[in-house]
Amino acid sequence: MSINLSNIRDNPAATQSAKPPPPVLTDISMKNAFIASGILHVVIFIVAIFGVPFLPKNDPLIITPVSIELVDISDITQTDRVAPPKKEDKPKEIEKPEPPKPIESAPKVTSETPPVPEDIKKPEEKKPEKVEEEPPKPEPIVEAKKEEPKPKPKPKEKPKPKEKPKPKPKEDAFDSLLKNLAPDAEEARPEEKTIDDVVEDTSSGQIAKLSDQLSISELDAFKYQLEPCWNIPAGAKFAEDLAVEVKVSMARDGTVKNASVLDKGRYNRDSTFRAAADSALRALRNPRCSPLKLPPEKYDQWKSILINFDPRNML
Amino acid sequence: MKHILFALFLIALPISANAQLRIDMTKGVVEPLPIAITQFKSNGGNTNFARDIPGVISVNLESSGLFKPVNPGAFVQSVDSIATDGPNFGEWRASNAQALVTGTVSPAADGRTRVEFFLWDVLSEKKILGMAYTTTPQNWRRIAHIISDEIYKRLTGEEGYFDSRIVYVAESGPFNRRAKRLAIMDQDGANHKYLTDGNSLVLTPRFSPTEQKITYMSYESGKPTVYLYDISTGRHEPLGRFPGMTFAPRFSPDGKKVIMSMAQNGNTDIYEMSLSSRKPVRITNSASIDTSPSYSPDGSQIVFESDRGGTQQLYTMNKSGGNVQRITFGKGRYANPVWSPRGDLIAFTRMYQGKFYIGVIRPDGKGERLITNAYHVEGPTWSPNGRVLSYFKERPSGNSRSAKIYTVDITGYNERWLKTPVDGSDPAWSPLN
Repeated sequence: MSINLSNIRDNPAATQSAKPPPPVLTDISMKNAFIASGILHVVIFIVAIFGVPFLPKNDPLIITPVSIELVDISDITQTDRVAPPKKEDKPKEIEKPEPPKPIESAPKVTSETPPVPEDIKKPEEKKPEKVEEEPPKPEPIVEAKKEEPKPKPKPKEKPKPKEKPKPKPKEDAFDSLLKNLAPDAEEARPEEKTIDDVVEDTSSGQIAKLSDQLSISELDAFKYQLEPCWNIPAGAKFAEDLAVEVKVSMARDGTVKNASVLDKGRYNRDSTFRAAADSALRALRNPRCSPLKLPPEKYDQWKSILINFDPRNML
Repeated sequence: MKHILFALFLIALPISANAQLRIDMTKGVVEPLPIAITQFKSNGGNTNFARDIPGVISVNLESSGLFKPVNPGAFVQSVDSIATDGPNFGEWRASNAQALVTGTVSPAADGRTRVEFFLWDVLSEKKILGMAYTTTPQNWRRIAHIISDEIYKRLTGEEGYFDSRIVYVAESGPFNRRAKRLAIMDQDGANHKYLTDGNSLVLTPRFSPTEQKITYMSYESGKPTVYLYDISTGRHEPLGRFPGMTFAPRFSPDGKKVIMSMAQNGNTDIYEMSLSSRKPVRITNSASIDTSPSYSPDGSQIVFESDRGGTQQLYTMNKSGGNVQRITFGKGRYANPVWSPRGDLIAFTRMYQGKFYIGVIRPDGKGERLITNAYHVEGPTWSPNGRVLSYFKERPSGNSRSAKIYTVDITGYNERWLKTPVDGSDPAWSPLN
């Protein structure tokens, strides 16, 4: 073993380590060492566990627990969606829609040898003979027929929200979309978007996991995509009463599998409502708006949708 | 207790899984529906019908502003292919059509013409209407109008108005020697015909809602007098001999009475006259000028103009003259009220700050909208379905004036000039033929 001499001069401990080993301990000295070691370990454990009592204590950081309540956003939006009936709207009920007139499209007899309509009363059932002559076409899937006879999904009756101040209600629901050159008419109102507008369209009382539900932005994207394809019945008589509820079965790829109007009774007896409903159905089938962009991982949430096409705010 | 809670949890699980998403669509667009109207298949006879009938249908639907015919250049399927194989909906969808009209024209055994048509919903791939008509060949335009009405009704839910006519005052000559005579035409301007010779001034023609008759005011007798004109016979007669002037006539909804103004002793009031008894019955009795009466479609009310409040405004009253209610309160003057055939609106002329406007207002006086204006615009009349307004606009033209007839959708959009052979004013729309 070579020894660095310079180290020896500069570090005397190093020189001692180079000395011969100490004499071997006897049995008695070994036993004492074990006892001392054991006591020392016990002390160290006690200090480690309980600390040194005379040293100042480092108080642990006290974190006040924050109570977090997980709230389903749809519950909130549900509550807000039911706006209290506007007082100004009530007078409108004075005008009751006239009962639909019986279809009378037969041309009246004139001196000019009028044409003879052969199939006026039941345009959809009765067909001209030519229809029968045509080769039978595979009937397209009629969505309404494929609907399962489920009980009508009624939108959950929401608790009555407290009366809250609304932005200035429209004097006339027939006013905004329609042209008005009145020199003394009030300026066109900018579109007011309240929090109600933002959140009112979220789903009804679901209790699925929050992460599974469609977010507001996803719902807005859905509506934004569908808007250009929905032609509203502007100018129709009492168009503000032509809201149409459509039950839609969606395929996983975002296309519409089935769409059927809920109020079939009105669909069959009210030609204006039927036209409005057909317009809503066309929106859902319009290639320009299909497939609808919805998150595939949340398919369970949107595989069945109830869409309420309500033109009231557009008129 | 624990067991109960656990059971409730298990019950709630499937409910949450089946909860249905509900979405409120509150925004959309207002744009014409793309509709493809193909030529009809001709099975002999006058082959022009197979082209001309769909042509008229296309013009009709486009003029309403609610439909946009697809350019035939984008058609992808031949008429013969449609007739044999039916529409190829995928291809029609690709041409952006949402509705499709097809048809056939065939000669019938008795020399008449048989026209069939089908209306298809391209997006749902369904036939939604199919009809056939047989008529004399010269009625082909009428057939086209009737088919247009059926398509309009099926797709909008409201009655059509294409199979109707318009009577108006045809004007010609210089401004200070203007000849005015009654003329009649189809709502699209076709089949134009003059009814009077122009020797005497005529104004304010109105169609009977039930018969081929027109009432109007004429100076034929030297003073303004209300006349009745029978279109089918060409005969006309004064409605009565009265000491004063009679003017602003209009039929009752049942066509059995005429309501009008009569000026006597410097006072103008509204009278109703039965066409059978020809005896006038006074409806208003005020010191003011009451004129331009128009019945509500159910005949229970009358709207009229009056200056009884100091300015010329619109009022409603019961058919017997009671319960008079003022419905306009805007600045300027209001005139020529006309109740819509569907009852929901009253059209009028408003004069304000040197301009003329055509507007609509609800019978309760709410929702006034002014939908067009001009140097001089006046004389609104409703299409039989209450969806379209017609009126005339007058503009200075050199030393004279030019008068043109226009139509506009009640939304205030799609204003169109209705071409007439000469200047036109005072249009009056007929009911459906």
